[in-house]
Amino acid sequence: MAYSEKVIDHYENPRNVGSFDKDDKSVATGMVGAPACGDVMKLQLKIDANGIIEDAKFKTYGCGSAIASSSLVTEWVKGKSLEEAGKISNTEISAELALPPVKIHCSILAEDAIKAAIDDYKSKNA
Amino acid sequence: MNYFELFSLPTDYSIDKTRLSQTYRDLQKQYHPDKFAMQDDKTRLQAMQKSTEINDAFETLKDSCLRAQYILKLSGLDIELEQRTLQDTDFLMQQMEWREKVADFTEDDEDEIEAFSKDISKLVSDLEADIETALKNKTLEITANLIRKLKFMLKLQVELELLEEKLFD
Repeated sequence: MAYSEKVIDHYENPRNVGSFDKDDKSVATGMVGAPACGDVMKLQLKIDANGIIEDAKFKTYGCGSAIASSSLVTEWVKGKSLEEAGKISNTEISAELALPPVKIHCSILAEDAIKAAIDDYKSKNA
Repeated sequence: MNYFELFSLPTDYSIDKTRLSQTYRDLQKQYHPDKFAMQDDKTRLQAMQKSTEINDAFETLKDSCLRAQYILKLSGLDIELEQRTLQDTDFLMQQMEWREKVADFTEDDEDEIEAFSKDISKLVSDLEADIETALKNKTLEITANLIRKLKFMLKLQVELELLEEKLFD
């Protein structure tokens, strides 16, 4: 399958790979998986006192498109508020990476990872 | 005619694999394109379609995950092409830990890899047993969730096999 240049770039030089302490109250953790292909994605956001995402890290076990989608998302969310980050949609992700239709679920996975992380942060700080 | 009927098997999750393979060979012989070479176009086309259907049915029925998914579809819940994500955090954390473990194995870990493969195989069998029970009880949503989990376990098994090939072959 032909990957787009942007996917290959993120796949070969993934941004922000790693983990934060998930028990830290300022850390939001989103764990999601795609049953269609068995891919697993962990997205973590570090939120500052003003509710702004100051840093993001990811760990993804999956295909190139899943890795690229999560890598891209870590770049996009930095500097955004949780509300703004929650508006990032899979269509933006798949358009940016020029994902083929069979790989759309990878961008859905990344979108859902952001949402799951936001939910985690809210329940932690409720 | 559904795939089970095509193979004269009961629509059950537990399947007689020997009978499945035997019936597959018999059906293939019966509908082999060579046998219809002298017939008209329409008959040849029908035989070819039948032959394709037999192959699809065999691929579906012999695979524990696809078979479960197919019975679920016959019961009215089709999850074959679903795009939804799974958000069971504990389950996914465990998957993540296992994938990390597999990624960190080296050729010095032969015994650990073997023990780990056995553990995973056992968990896959347990999951298949749960799927069988859930299908018998006709709890479709529970079955669907178990199938989704099975897919992650099967992916893990594939990764383990690839690793073993890379390290030891």
